[in-house]
Amino acid sequence: MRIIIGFILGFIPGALAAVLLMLHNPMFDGDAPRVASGDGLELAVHGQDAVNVVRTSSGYPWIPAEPASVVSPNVEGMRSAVRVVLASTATAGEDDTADGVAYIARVSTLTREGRPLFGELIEQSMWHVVVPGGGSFFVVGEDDLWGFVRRMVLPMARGNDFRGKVAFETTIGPVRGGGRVIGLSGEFEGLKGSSELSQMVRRASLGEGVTDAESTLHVSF
Amino acid sequence: MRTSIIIGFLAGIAGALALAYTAPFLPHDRVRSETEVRTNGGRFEQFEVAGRADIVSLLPAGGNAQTEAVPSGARWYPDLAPFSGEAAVYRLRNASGVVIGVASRVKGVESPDDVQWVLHIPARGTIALKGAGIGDAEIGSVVAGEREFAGLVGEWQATAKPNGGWRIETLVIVPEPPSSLQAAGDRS
Repeated sequence: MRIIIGFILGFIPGALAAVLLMLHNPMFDGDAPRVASGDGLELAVHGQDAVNVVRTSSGYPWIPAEPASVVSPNVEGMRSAVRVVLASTATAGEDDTADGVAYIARVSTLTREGRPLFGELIEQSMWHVVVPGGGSFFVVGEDDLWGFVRRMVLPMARGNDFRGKVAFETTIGPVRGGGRVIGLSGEFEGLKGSSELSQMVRRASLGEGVTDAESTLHVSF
Repeated sequence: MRTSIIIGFLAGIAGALALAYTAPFLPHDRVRSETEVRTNGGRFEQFEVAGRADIVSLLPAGGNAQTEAVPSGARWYPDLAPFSGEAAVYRLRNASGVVIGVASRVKGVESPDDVQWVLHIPARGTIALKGAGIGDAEIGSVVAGEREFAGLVGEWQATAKPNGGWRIETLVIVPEPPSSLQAAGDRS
């Protein structure tokens, strides 16, 4: 009996020590190095995570359904999220003045390809983008959310709403240079390019999700 | 007692690291593909949007009062002019009715009848379809794919259901690379 009690007394602090080591391991800060953007397009989503149309998820604690009536994606065996938003568009490499609005349907899934043990939490995303008067394209990207989860979600899970300013550069693939962009119609038809996602979060809570943030998808053809 | 505490401590570390390595909190099951191989080598697959319950969002074309927006009260955004078409996101099911992904459909990007679908199946990849609407049906060609769908060419047809759902059928082939004999002939 003493052996079992001793084992349990040792097991719990051992597990906690390993978790603390993973969370505070400076080798894995979870932020990918920024990829240089060439000429292209910037799609910026401002404000309350741009809940223009809907956001919904199955298993993303920081993406509650909004509006409440929206159905969740419920992809079998996956943690997945859908966001349908409007984004302001600007030409990359010039001033940041928005020159239009784009429609974006974004589908994200947390995968098992990254390992939290190595500071990775990989999310695959597909973006279907319509630029009015320009055309359409889709993007597939892989983002490492470990930095976001470590610096924001875990503190929020302890009951601390986040207020501040944290920037994330998350895109790590699937190709060297970031996400893969494939043109579908209009001026983008036949074009291929790359993308990277940067995010700035100012306010978030587990109950309401990210309520003040700016996400920018940099697209280069 | 001290030895068991030390062993427990090491086991705790090992257990937590193993848990982080296997990430069991991230289920990523792959639903078996229901692709049929046809006699000509083509691969046929059927996808479904079961009905209104599978609509995540639907913005009817500007001024189209016949189509009900989802969620109710959503409206077309005048900021998106000159695009005034229809845009929707659906849960995507396989022929057996299992939700395997999400489909994004937009209509009227370039002309009132043009339509494009992007079917995203997280366990398999993404396939983009372009075509035109003819009555309650839409037909066209496969224009791009990613991962399992990379490099495929073929055709597709989507049929609207009265309950707001869709049946989407794709027939694709993997184009064969030219044989060395053909390549030599092409060069001569």
